[in-house]
Amino acid sequence: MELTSRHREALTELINIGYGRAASALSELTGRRIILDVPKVDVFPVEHVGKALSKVLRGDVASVHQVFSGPLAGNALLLLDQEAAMLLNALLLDQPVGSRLDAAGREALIEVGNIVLNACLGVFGNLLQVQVTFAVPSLHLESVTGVLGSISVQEEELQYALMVHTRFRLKDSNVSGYLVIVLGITSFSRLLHELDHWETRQLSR
Amino acid sequence: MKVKPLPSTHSQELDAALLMWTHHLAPHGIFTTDTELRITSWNHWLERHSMLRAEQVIGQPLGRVVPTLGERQLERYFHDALRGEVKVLSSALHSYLLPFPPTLTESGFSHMQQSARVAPLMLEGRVCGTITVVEDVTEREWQNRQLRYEHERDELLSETLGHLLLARDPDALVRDLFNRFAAQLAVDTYLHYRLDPETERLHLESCAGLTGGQQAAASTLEKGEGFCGAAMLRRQPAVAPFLEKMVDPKADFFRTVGLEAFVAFPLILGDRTLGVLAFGTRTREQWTADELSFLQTIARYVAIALDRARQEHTLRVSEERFRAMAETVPDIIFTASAGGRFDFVNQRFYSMTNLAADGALHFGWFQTLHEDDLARVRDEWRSAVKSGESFNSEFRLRDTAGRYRWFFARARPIRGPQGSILKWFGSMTEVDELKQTHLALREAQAQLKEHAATLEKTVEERTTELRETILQLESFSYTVAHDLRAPIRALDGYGRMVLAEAGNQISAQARDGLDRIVRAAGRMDALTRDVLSYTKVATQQIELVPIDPAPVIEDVIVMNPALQEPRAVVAVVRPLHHVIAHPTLFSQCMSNLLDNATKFVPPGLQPRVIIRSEVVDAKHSTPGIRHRDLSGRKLQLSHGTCPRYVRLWVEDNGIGMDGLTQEKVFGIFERAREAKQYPGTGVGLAILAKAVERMHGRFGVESTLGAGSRFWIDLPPAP
Repeated sequence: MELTSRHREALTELINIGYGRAASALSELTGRRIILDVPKVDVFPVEHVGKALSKVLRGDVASVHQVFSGPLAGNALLLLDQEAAMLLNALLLDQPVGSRLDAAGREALIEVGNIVLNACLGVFGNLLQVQVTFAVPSLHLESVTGVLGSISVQEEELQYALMVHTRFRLKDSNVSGYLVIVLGITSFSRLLHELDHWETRQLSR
Repeated sequence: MKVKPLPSTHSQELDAALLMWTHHLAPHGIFTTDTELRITSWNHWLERHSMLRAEQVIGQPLGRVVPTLGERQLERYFHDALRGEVKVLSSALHSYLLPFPPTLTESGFSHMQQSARVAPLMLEGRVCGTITVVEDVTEREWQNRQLRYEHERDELLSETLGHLLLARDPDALVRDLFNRFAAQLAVDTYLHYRLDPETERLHLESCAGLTGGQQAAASTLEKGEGFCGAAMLRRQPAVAPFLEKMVDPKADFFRTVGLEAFVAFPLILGDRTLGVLAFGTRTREQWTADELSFLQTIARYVAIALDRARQEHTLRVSEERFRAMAETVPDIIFTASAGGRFDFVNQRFYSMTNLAADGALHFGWFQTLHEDDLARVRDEWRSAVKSGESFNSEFRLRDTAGRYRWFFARARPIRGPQGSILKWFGSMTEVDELKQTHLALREAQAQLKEHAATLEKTVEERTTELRETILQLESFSYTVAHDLRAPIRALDGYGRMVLAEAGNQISAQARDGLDRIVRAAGRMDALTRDVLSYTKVATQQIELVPIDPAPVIEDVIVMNPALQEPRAVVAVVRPLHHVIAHPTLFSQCMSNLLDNATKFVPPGLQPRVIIRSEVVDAKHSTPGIRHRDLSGRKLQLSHGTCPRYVRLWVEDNGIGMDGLTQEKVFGIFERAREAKQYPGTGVGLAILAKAVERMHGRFGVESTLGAGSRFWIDLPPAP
């Protein structure tokens, strides 16, 4: 499935809306102005996402993983390489950059991931006018292959991955991460279909 | 979240068991609300920590039970949960969800640290409320904070050390440093004292947290006074907690300034005592071990930095003194780093050369070197720096007028206590005049040498010419002697014939005349024979072989009755050393020597001759003896070809001779005045001299008039 430029633009805009929500929540939480950017959005068959991630993330990655179910079902992940995770943590908690992620740090990262993932999926749910149900988020520190192993659920259906390059901007620093949402083809087609509708609604307004 | 459905028969029992666990045993706080956020359950853990029983809170709105939620904007997490989202509240970002008292009193937290999950409560696919799980993470957070503090302190310490070691004024740094850690450690006061080594008093250098009046009161401490003095005296930290309760009079001052606990560290480095650094707090009664160790480390670093700064100051002062001195001397003075870069050159260098100020530094001075000296001097300097040996060199430097002047440079390394080179110290002294004189002298010497060489060559040429002349003369005399013998024999023969046949018929006067003719002819014949034998010795080709002198001498004696008893006694002291010689020439020499030894003896005295040998060193020459060749030149002794000789002595009891005679006796036709009454031609010793010379030997005589002669010949020893 190829993403048309129109779809890509619409998706980017939609995610931006979710990120705006997440950013304001994060800013409120930390008392500092935080901006979330979307430099790039891509869609791959799920088998190709590993290759695409290996190009941009090196070594072990910290991933906040959240399963969602209901009419819109799949896996959502926020991936940061170790260095970025450490930096983001230090910036959010206003601490010096550490050398390892302690329990409190991991928990904070889960909360941040949770906010970003929920915000993003929340706007999808709103668009599709469905209730998205989430599982408790978890954090893993492992290689990209390990991360993908945990999401390749044995579904009969063809799986697609929406890969969103995400940039956290705070305190004159940039931290890059990747939001990956894995959806079945049915959910995905529905999402694109609704995107067309949404666009039309936007234009007719 | 998928839950595997359990068999229905067990379902109710399991639900009851789960509820029981959740309510009574779970190590977390768990509560639920309905969609209006009214509390529907409140477990035992929450009862215990909130001091609110379940029946007190169930049915109550969450916002009323936990009023702070609203002001902390946490209520919307519950609203999000009602929309189906699972929310996470991390302790790092929120500290806590429910304001409970801390479980760990020493942690210093105002509330129990919590992490929480707020999730929608689902019933048949619908959200019917929220469920919240609260976890106590106080201990974890406290440990993390301790770790972070330790880490920060380590960082602070290492950073401090770096700053202290770089700081010119460590005292200013102590002040700065204090401001950085004071808040973290809740330290309110510090006092930095400097020790006056002469009076042993402590003088306050700087401090913080004291009023002007208090500072003045603490400005000088006598030896051993107060906690600081005590710390100094004992060279041990003085820890003073619970100042309020202390009866020690030392505590009085600190109590008056409002301190609760105090600690003084002596600033010690090796055996050097520099002062005291002390800290005080107004908020706590005692120090923790961690704090003491941290403060002690700070004190140690400060001591190191102070010592270093002091040493640097001393060094700077002595360096300045050195530079001032260096400007007063007339020489060029320089210092260089261990690596050979010039780091100081005195003014004299710049006033002499055209280099701009500091232009000689590093390797800049090379620019002023004469191009012919540059490579050599650079190599010499480089190798001196590399080997650490003294640098000694001469070179030309271009002066302000562009003229090159000679300098003598000398540099030696100054070594540290471990033997490593700290610096090079050197001087350049102008030696231009000296050098010019030296050069002139060398030129004169060269000329003289050349002249001497020319002279030697001339002498050589003249000698060769002379030799040729001698050779010509020798061959001429041979011819003359040979040709003369025939008429002499005729004279002798015919004279004898006339005497034999007509001797009786002629007058006695005529017979006497004939006798004289015959005798004269005989003498003439002997003379020509000797001359012939001399020239033969001088010119014939000879081969030198090892010989034993004894049998040769034996033969000479046997052949000549005049050498035998009773006419003479010739004794040979055996064994004689073997020599390298020509047998015939050697025999001739011995024959001549023995002839002379037995001939020149006072009448009526039996000649006694002793022949013996010894080995002499070539350099050895008997005092008073002149070694001469036939032309009267001093013999050239060749030490190189023959380091030792066999010396054959022929000692007689004859008439002897005076010094003058000894000088001349080896010359041809020379006869001793005293020998006039003895028959002879005056050629014998000349033959000997020539023969010995040709056998590469030496000869001589020791004699006293009237006391016999000791002739000797030196010949190379047989191997």
